[in-house]
Amino acid sequence: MRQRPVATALPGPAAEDERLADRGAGRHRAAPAGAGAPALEADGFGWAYRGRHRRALEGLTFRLEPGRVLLVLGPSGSGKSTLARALAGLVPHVLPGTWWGRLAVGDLEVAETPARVLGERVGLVFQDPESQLVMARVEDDVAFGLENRGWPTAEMRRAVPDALEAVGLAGFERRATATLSGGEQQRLAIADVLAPAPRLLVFDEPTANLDPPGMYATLARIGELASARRHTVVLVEHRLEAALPLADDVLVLDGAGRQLAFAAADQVGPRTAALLAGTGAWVPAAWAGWTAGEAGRAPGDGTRASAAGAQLSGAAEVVVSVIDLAVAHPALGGRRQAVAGLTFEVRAGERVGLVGPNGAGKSTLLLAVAGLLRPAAGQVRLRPPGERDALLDPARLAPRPLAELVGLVFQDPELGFVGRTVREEVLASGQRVRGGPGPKGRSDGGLAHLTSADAVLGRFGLAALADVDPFRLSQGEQRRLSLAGLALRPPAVLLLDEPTFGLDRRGTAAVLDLLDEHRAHGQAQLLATHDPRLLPACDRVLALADGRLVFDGSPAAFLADPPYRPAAPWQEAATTATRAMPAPATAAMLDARHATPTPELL
Amino acid sequence: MSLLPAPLEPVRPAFLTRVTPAARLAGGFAWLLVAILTLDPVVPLRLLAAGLVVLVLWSGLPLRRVPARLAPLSLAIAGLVVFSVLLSPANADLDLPTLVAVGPLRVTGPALLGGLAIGLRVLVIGLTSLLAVAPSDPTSVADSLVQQWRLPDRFAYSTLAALRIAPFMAGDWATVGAARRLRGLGGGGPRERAAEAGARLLVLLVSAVRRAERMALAMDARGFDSGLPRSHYRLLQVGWRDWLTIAAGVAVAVLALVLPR
Amino acid sequence: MSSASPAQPSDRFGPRVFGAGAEAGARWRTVDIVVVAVLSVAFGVVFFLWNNVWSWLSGLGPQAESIVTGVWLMPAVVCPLIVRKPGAALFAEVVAALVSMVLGSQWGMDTILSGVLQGGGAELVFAFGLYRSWGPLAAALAGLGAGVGEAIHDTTVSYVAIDVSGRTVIAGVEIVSAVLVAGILGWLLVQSLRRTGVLEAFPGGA
Ligand SMILES: Nc1ncnc2c1ncn2[C@@H]1O[C@H](COP(=O)(O)OP(=O)(O)OP(=O)(O)O)[C@@H](O)[C@H]1O
Ligand SMILES: Nc1ncnc2c1ncn2[C@@H]1O[C@H](COP(=O)(O)OP(=O)(O)OP(=O)(O)O)[C@@H](O)[C@H]1O
Ligand SMILES: [Mg+2]
Ligand SMILES: [Mg+2]
Repeated sequence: MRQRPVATALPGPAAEDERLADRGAGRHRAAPAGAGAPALEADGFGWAYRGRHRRALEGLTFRLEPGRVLLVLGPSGSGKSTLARALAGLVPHVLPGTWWGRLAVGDLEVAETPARVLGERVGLVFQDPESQLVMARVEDDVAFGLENRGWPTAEMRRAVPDALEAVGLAGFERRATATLSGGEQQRLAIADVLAPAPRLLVFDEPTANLDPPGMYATLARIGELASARRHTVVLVEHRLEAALPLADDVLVLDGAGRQLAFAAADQVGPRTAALLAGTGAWVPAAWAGWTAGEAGRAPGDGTRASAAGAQLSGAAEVVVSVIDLAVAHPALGGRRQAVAGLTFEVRAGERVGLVGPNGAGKSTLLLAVAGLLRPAAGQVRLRPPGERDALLDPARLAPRPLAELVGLVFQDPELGFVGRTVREEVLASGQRVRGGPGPKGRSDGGLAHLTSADAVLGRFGLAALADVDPFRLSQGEQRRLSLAGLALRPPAVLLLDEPTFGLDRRGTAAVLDLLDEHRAHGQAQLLATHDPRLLPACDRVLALADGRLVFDGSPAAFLADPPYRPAAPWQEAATTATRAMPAPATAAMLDARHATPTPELL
Repeated sequence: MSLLPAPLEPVRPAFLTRVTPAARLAGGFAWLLVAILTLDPVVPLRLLAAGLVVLVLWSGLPLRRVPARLAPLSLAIAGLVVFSVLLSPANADLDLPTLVAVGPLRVTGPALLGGLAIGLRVLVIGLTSLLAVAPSDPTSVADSLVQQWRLPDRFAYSTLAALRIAPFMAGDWATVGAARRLRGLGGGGPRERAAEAGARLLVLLVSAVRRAERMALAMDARGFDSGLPRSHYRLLQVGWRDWLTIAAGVAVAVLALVLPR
Repeated sequence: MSSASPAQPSDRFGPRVFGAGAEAGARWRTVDIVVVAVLSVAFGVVFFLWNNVWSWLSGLGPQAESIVTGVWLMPAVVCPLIVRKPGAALFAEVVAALVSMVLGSQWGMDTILSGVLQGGGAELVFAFGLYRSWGPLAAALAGLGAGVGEAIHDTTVSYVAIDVSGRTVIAGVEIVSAVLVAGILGWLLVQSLRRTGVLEAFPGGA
């Protein structure tokens, strides 16, 4: 058997700490092999994007030996994607900014090597297939990267099928990329970067848009590639339960892009786990025993189940009533129905999780409930607050009454912004309250209004950004703003499409806190998600498959026996942190020290 | 496909599907030129007849879907013909016999012929484009233009990539509209509507720029700007069919022009 | 494998600024090309989905229809104002023409011809400013250039059978529409885009 090379942390403060923390583990790292260059070497590496005061990365110092898998951990905005871009030479050769220290891939200094040369060595896979697949046909897309580098046609003819074979897409050569499922598209993206035979593979949240089976299939491919040990792999991933088993080493970054730790994955101790927990990032379940407080609990912990949950069943009134609903997605030419035969109810104060594979019809259903798509058959009825008998058809409401009844948080919050500043964005819902149209209504009690808007902004941690254009906010800030926009007067029904997409643990918890509060006031919530970790935070689960309702019941029942085959991915993806391991006192102390909440909540 | 119309694609291999797009375009341009340069209805009528023969026999396109595809064209043609007839200078020529007169309006024979000629011309252009472009997918068109006409490749393939995401942008447009409706916007008088449309366009463009930046980064990660000459995975072979297509296209165009009327 | 040749210490640890001014100059970065292509496609998609605006206008005749031609010329002004590269107007308008052709536009291959004329008109104006003027005046003039290109095309191809006074009116309306909609509105649109910060990576900053 081939001996696995071992990671070596350069002597540095983080490494020092790690040694102390892991004392007694009885394992020692081998000295640097001496022979051969490391696959990756950073020495005081830092980067600031042009126009940003804050550095995206600072003081990275580590060595990764060839053939190993490095998992990069850190909260949102900690520079994980920036590191991935630097490894591919996009930073600094395509994106402008300021560079510190050194970073080398094999024997190539990134700062000195043109992106063209680095690109042959390094394959980078991004989050969303939509923007990284270039050509319309599978084989053309794999060939694209080779054509760019002037490969002879004969060689491409050999390399393309090999790359497709390696990701399990043999036979897909002539398919149109648009007809592939999300998981297949991500595997194609991996084939794209494999074709030029790079030595280093970098994955930046490759599974973010995928359902659990797609996620496991994609990670399984990455695992296979990694176990062949022909490539060195750097993996950025939020779904740690599935990713951690692949990792040989971990790099932990804090919210300011500084290196907190670099260690072999199996030698991570309480100290590192606590540091990671303190940043607000996701913490692998396997480490959670070492951390205390919030981090030890998944955000979807059962403690979030609605207080009213138990007596909800009969007492609370039905707010959303869907009967035998069928919707033909306009995108399908009105011919195929994206969802059909759906019947369910949502009661006041109830949070219902909506799950299903990619393309099952979750988003379509939300649009129909919001009255934005007309049913092809059946009906959607919503009950306005305070009304006993009246049930309204949302598709027939004028924009203003509709807005008072339903809110929808889109996966991309940006598409829903209506204000030119953050404050205006929140005020937009305030104007709705008074019912008066824009400028005329502004004179009446305008001041009282402004203060309440500012109060809302304060609560959402956006006060300092009140006068900023909403489009300039970070992804997490935008998501908070989209919720803040609904806060002045929460609608009776709130629909959420992937509300925690791309958020770290702390951000997810913050969103759920807000939702808890609204729910306590009787809001009915329907939440579509790919992340089964959120399910325990719901009162009920609706599961879709192919546009049909295949499950309607409690989260526990869903997780015990998911209506999908194979069921394992759905259950495993929901694995929440267990508290099996007692938290050592030191770790608890460390956690308390590092977990001081930062103003950057999401 | 999407909110956008599905492209018309060949359903069976046929002569034109085996011809490179560059050759089809070359032949098509000859027709286009002749159609634009003539003012009488006979020449476009001849080209139209020839085009229909090619469409039925050699295009491989699904004939049943062609009328729907040309439908928007017919609306435009109708408007164009009516106004070309009504506003023709020939109507002012009092020596010409009046064909129809409604109130102050008067239509003469040459005016009617001129209007028909314009309508036929537009129809011929539409049909010719269909024959030139539709028998291959956009990728082959780009490949062909880059390999045979030496169009700058970075521009050609970026355009292709941008066309590929058109359905997503159509989806974004719908989403922006839905989101704004849910915020209580939309409706109102023409001024509100115009302002609303402008705001919606702005959001769409912001999202388009962000999409473009992500795409460009992914393309650069795959060496798009390597500075090396790009090679080709699919080499287009120019064969006798191409030459025949160009020759036949030019010949038909010339014949349509010079044959006695 | 040989180990890395050690970089100079100053190189290794001192801050180094990369890509200063990379967005300026005549060279097209990938992001410039893709942004122009994507924006032109976006305009094409929007105008296609917005069809109800002119479906009733075309019933009112060519003069009325030409009121909105300015809208089709927006890419020829907006894209050059963003990337500020030679050729941007031409490239943008040709892509826009391709989109409308792909979406089954009225005029087929002829749109390419008109795209070249319109984009060429705007391009000439920007070239005349040596690709250094990007203000509202330049934008309005570029709109004018594109409008003239459009008018030349339409009066010789689409509206030839109409009498001279009718064609003059059409050309005039088209040019005015081009100046107002493509030029002035286009410039305002770019200003709005700047405010959102998405144009940070392009000349003129944000
Ligand atoms: N192209 C860019 N231009 C300017 N600033 C950027 C750019 N990309 C990222 N940043 C900033 O750099 C910092 C690090 O961002 P990065 O995307 O690397 O974080 P991340 O760890 O990948 O976060 P996430 O988990 O949310 O993906 C953030 O403050 C971000 O706003
Ligand atoms: N823009 C679109 N173009 C083509 N088909 C679409 C589009 N949007 C949705 N569909 C189709 O409509 C059906 C339902 O899609 P929908 O987006 O509602 O699923 P989803 O469950 O939200 O998927 P995801 O988990 O990937 O978000 C699917 O068959 C999908 O392929
Ligand atoms: Mg990231
Ligand atoms: Mg969805």
